Amino acid sequence: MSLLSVRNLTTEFRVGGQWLAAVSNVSFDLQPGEILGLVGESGCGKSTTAYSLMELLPSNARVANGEVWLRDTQLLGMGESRWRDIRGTQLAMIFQDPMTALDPVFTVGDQVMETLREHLGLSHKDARARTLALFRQVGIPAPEQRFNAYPHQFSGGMSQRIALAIAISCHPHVLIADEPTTALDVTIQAQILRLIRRLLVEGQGTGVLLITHDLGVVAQVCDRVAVMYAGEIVEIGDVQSIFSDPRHPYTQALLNSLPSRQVEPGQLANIQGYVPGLASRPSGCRFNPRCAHAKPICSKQPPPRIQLSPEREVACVLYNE
Amino acid sequence: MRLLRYIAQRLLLLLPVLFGTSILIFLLLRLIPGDPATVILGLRATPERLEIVRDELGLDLPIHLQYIQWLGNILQGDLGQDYRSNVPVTTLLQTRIPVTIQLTLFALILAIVIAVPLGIRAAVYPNGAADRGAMFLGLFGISIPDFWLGIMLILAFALGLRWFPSSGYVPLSESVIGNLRSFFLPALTLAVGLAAVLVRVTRSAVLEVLDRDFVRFLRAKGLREQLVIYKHVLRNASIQIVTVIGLQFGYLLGGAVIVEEVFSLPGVGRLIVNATLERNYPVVQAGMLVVAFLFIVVNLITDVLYGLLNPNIREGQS
Amino acid sequence: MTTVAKTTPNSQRRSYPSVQSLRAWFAASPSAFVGGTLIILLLIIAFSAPLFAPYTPEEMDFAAALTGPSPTHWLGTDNFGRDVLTRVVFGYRISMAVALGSVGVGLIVGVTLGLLAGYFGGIIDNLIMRPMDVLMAFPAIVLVVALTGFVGRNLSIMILAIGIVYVPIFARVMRGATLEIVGQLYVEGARARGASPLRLMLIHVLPNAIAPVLIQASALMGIAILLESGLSFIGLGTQPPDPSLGLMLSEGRQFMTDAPWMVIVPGVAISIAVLGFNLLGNGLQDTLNPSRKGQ
Repeated sequence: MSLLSVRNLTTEFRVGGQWLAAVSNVSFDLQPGEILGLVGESGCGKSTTAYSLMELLPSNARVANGEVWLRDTQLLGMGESRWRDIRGTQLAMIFQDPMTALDPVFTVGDQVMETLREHLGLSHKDARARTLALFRQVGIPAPEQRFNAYPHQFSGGMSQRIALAIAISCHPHVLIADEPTTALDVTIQAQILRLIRRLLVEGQGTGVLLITHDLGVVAQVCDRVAVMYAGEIVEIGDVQSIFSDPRHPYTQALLNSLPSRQVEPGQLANIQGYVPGLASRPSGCRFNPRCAHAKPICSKQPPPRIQLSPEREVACVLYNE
Repeated sequence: MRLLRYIAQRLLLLLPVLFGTSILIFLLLRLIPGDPATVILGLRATPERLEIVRDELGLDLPIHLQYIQWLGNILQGDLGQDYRSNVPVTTLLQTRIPVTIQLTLFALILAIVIAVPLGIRAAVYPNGAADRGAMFLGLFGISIPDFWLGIMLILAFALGLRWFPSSGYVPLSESVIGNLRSFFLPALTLAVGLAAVLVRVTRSAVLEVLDRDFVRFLRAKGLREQLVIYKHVLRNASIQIVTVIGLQFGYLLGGAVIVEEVFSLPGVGRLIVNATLERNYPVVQAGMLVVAFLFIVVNLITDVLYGLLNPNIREGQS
Repeated sequence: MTTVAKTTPNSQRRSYPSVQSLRAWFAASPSAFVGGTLIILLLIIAFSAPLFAPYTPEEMDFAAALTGPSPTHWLGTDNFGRDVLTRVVFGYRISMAVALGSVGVGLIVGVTLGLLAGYFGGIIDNLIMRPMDVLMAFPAIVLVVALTGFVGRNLSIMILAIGIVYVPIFARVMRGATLEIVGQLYVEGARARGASPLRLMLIHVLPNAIAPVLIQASALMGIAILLESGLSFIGLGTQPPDPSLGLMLSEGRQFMTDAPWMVIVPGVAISIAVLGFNLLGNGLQDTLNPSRKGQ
């Protein structure tokens, strides 16, 4: 049984008077001790997928269809009171901008302690001791002094370490990391990623869903990768084989843009055009207007999902034989 | 340390305002055409008494020296004489200031108790009953004259239902219950206008905080919604709410002038009104001085609270 | 035939846009529409009071004193047998005169001072704005009580006193708006092209700062009505026998158990007028200043 299993997830946003799908029919599995990268250009639905898994969508969005299984529990629609026993303890999350993720008016120590006391019912003294231990684990220098500091007194990297300390404090089974290093500079990026691997994946067997637009990050830490385009997963498989032999034209284009290392989140150097908006998604294969190998059929019907090997799946008509 | 420096900075900024305020109050009496001594004592005053008053006010001196003398007296705690009753004005004020302070504080508490929970609910459940209620209070609360509201409350709850006295003042030392009963309707009257402003500010401040990233992170870490709202969101929104409360305190002091009149409460506001009606100018000046001083002190307290609530100012960058 | 056929749709077309623009106004901001309509109605009633009022405000009928609402006196009579409806209609005259007059004074003086302070900055800014801080150190009603108390009690002094209280408010709004626009002007380099300061202020700065000033003006007209009636209520404003709404309220207090309409009617009348200005102000806020919507 997978640790986390997502089936046919469809999430919609209300735009004007109608509901438009931002995420369509997304399915994937996550195993214990595995890092799965979810990669794609901005606007492709990666973050919406993450918030759907936690049922933390903004008020103008809803999960229209799908199931999310955490081992043998179906999470979606389980109600706020049951969610509280899952969020933070079994399913934890960290965000893109660590500088705004912490409450500015409480000390960082308080914000870690609060989580411990809420979920584990620790006494003030025990919670404080655990917090200091967590600070050491995530590499906060001089934890006793920093305990009473406020978020604005921390750098981005240090703030992300605090957020990580909160996320791992209750030994989650799954960590969802939404672009956790995008706002940080490169050396700090590598430190945070190493920390995630060492503390969670190797230390506790946590499964990590790492959302990123940066293929460098994927190559660095992920075991498997799912490539998203316009709300759909177009290709999924282990990192090594996808990087050495990408099959979907979009994956190929993504990887072609990699050596230049100047990938802007909005646009890829080697692909014409932009990710289509919610209201203007093409019919058939959503990539067909930008695809170099597009055939007439691509604009008429959705591409088939093709199992290339037990590990790999691709959604493209090119491999339909 | 940083907080102390911040407070010192605020104090320094207040000095010119205090100085200007004193000049304005001093000049008011000199604005009246004619001899100030005659203005104060009236036309039927004897020449001897006029001479005494002229001497006390230093009217023979040039005007800037008159001001310095007047200010010197005030700084020594001498606010002048009530020439009608020959009582020092400070004696008059001693019993009046606590009444006004109690009234305004009571009103402040009522306004907060009414507006803040309503504003929070309005923000958390947009378009719900609380949101409609907040909109109603926010609009009608500032449109209804306070003196009329006071009369209506008297008509309903004092003369009609007889739950509260219609006027008068029971000192706290005499009876705590009686004192609270005598203050309830006036305080409620005064509170409605402030509550109207406060409910809008609370609603928009909470809405703004709810939109911030850290709220999403708090929810992602599985915190109870009550803790998210009442610990984190409210604490962040309070920075803005407290600032507005401070700014609006002047409104309460102003409202007290009229509400004290409606409910016959012997406060500073009523003293100013009665003294103005009797053209008892030194008393008016002293009353204005007290009101301006209270107003400035409250603004200072607000600034300090703002600093205390805001770790950016309290702690500084490290 | 043809001419008739041509003119009819033409004239319809001519009247159509005005109905449509009214409708558009309502759709854009129902609150501004309701408030604006209310204010216009009240202004018409106030300034053509003799046409509307069934009696004259001083007309006494002792036989009918303290009678409740009836077909002859729709809103009842007071202790002198004067018609309450008539006195309310005439009371609106004073309310509206004070509202327009005081905001007029405050706006003209305040906008001028704020414009100068914001445009020139430096010493001129300080010379203008520091005294404004002093005026702001008093609650409005206290300053108005003192000014009218020391100088005299009549309509024009009351208008002037409230106007003085409003000067710093307009000055601050205008100064802020000016600073913002002057900052942009430097980028445009209009100054470098040698335009005179006066020209710059009148042509570039003033029109662009009108929105915040109008929003403020609407709210302050409502407050002026509250101040006038409050002042008259405590005996420092309009003097008897003039029919101020606040004065009617204070006169009615003695009779409020026997003739509650004497206190209810003027209070409702004041509230309606203030509500109108507040609705208009809210609506202007939403339409002219959409970035701050809902605040």
